[in-house]
Amino acid sequence: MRALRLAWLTVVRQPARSCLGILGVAAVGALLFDMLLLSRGLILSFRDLLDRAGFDVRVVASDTLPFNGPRLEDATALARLIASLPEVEAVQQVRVADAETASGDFRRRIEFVGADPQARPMWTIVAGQDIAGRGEAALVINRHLAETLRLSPGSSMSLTGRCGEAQGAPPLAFTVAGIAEFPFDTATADTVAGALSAAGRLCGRTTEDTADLLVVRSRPDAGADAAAAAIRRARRDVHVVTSDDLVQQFNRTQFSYFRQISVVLATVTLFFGFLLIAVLLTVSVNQHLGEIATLRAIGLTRRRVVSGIVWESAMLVGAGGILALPLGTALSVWLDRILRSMPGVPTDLHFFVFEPRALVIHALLLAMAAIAAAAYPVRIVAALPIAATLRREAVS
Amino acid sequence: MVFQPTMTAAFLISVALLTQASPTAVEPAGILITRQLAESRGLTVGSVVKLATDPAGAHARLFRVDGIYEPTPDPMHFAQPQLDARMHLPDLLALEAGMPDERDRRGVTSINVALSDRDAERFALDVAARVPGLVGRATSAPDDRTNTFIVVERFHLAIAIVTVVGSAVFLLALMVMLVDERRSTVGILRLIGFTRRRILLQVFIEGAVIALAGAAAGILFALASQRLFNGFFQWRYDTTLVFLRITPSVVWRSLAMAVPFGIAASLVASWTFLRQQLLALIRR
Amino acid sequence: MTPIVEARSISRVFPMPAGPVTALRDVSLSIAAGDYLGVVGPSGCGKSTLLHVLGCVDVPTSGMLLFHDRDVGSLADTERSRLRLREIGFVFQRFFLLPMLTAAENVELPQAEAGAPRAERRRRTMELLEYVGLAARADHRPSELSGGEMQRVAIARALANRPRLLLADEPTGELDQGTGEQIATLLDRLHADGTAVVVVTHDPAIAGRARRLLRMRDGRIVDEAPR
Repeated sequence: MRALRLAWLTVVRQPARSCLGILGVAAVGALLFDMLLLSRGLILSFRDLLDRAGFDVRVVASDTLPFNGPRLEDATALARLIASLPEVEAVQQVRVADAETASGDFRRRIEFVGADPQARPMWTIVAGQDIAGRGEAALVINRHLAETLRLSPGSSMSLTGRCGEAQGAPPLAFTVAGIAEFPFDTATADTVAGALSAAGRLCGRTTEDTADLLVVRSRPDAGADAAAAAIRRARRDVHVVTSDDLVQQFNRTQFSYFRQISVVLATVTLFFGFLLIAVLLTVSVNQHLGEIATLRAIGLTRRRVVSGIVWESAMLVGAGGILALPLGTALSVWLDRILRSMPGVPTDLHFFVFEPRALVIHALLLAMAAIAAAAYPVRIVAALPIAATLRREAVS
Repeated sequence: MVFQPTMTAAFLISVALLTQASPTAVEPAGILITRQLAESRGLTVGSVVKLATDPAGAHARLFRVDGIYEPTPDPMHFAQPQLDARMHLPDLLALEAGMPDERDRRGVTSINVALSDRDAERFALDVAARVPGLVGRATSAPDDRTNTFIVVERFHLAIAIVTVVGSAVFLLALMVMLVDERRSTVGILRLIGFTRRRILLQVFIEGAVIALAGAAAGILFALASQRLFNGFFQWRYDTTLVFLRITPSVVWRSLAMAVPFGIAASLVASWTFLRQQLLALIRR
Repeated sequence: MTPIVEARSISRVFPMPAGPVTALRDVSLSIAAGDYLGVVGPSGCGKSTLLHVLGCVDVPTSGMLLFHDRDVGSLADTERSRLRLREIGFVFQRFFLLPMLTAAENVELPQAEAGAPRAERRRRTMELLEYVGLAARADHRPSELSGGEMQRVAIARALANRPRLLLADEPTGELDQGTGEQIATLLDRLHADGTAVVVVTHDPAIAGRARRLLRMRDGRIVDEAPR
């Protein structure tokens, strides 16, 4: 009769208590699992969005975030210089302009992304065609705009630049070539993409050679860090960030709150789970001291009896932990939906992202909690005075 | 009351270069800087600094630090260090004038208005009608920032719901065990002639006392934790923002949940035993 | 012949908040193979404490306890557990069967702990249950057995690993007279089959069947007489 079997029999002899203990661990374990998903979810999702564009280095004029600072001057020459570096596979200029279009009686504000039509696009076509080879009047628009204005491939669209003091430039006519998904679009964003030159023409600045951002793809054998270093050597006056740098920067600032909250909640949750399993086991042991003393009296070693307690803890926490996974997954979908409704959050950005590492850490943490929870009841059992307990049980 | 031609308040400037400089013959204009900026750059009251909007430092102007202030924490940006400076509006406009691309100049982005009669909504409508293109908004009106906090509140509420469910399950498990310990006592009472109702009344009273005591202990623990959490996050983000606050409403809501849960758990657990045959209760 | 157990001037003092309580004072005795010893005395005279010390469940405060010439006091807890497992069988007043195991499983438990193979365990278990007249109740849980039946299962469990010594603490204390007689008869049979038996009892039926009777008072042996 091994300790495992005895532990199993102890657990099943009181099914209500055991089921409640397992359910409680499941609830706590689900929350713990979700906090582990949250701890790196934003970083993984953000990284995925950055990688989706297909570029791993970004060049801007200053150390502010892209599109928030001054523009790069002589962008074409700069792009040519960067493209000539051996570590670089491709470079693309990106220029963003504010525009608007008529929507009934209102003017609808649009973000116009200008990029080289021949280069690999940073967006994903979901209907129609891309702008490549279709001239300066071709546009791709995002789903939200297409649904709101009931546009489809082939539709016409007129855009007017919002150019500050240069307001007054004539509207430009475009043709919708396709509908695309833009990685960083929010649910209500209205985004279009077109030729780089069209971005300048919106405000009547056809001769200006500036760009908000250069996106660079490094050669696979060189890597982003080598490409970034080469660009910095070639042009010390620009600011170069790799995708890793951006992720780290966001991790330190914008995402840090969720990382902190996930650590705090995971700690509190784990402590809660440990405390309650410890109480369950302690009360259970105290209720069965007579049986435990009997086992010791008939010759079971202290180690054998103690291992039964540890197995009991492992069973409760193990069963609860397994049940926690589907519960936690469902809960994470719900929580993710809540957080993604925050204004300004890209629709494809997720807060809770599964990675196998989270499973492993979850299992390890629960295992530690199970062992820690068994510590006090184990101490009771190990130090149990057999004779005194038998005497007490005889007269109680 | 805030008027905003769609851009943010002009007191945050895009400082591309901030250096200490030697005092000159021309008295530099005075500015106020945040404590965080002062600490990060080793500045004190009286320090003379150069500010420019150009990344290369072109068209820089000298300013004298007249004071250091603790910024009002911005819950939307608490994770970013508040490296801000405040200057007179003419000085800011003069600084921006050096920017080559007028599209990068923000100009006046908002005007704060204090009303004598405090009817902000009516005033906003009136001005919008008189000056088309101007957007007025009462400072108490909800905006995107409010939506963000609503979402965060829903998130925390969801977490709280899961925690409460887990706690309720465990509470029931504990009550089942505690009632089981008193199985033979209950059996003897029933043998003597106590009715189920009488025993449940006793359980109810005990459950209420335990639930109240437990809830009170939990609230005291939460109050102590509040200091810890706020202390940690304020240190971590170098801010005076309060992240966690146990308000009377929170206390009452906790009591309103914990006490009925505790009583219900003890009643449910007791009833599962009282339903059993009397002899089953007293037999070992 | 070497006695199975020999107690030399053992004392057992229990420290209590109100002052130490001496349960055994300078007790010496020996138990040889084939002995049938009854221990009687008023409540609180130290009978159960003596049994616990003899059974290596408790350790004397002073004096020496030898089990097959080995000083029990110098043994580690694991070794004392092994002694209890293989050499000593215990029967308690309140049976102390594990409620979640069947009668057969309760009897199998010490054998499994001693490492007996499954087939051997099953065979021995049925043999013991037949010995105590409960083969038909092998798959019943303790809650489904009467008091006498539970005690008989407890005796079967105590005999599982063929102990040299059986210690019984008030084995009929919770049983009616008729059932107590059955237990007493069973103990007789055990003794006849070669097991040394020590019984603490208030029951005259059992005391009357013992070959030696020890009277205790205030932690001392006041009288020891063969019958």
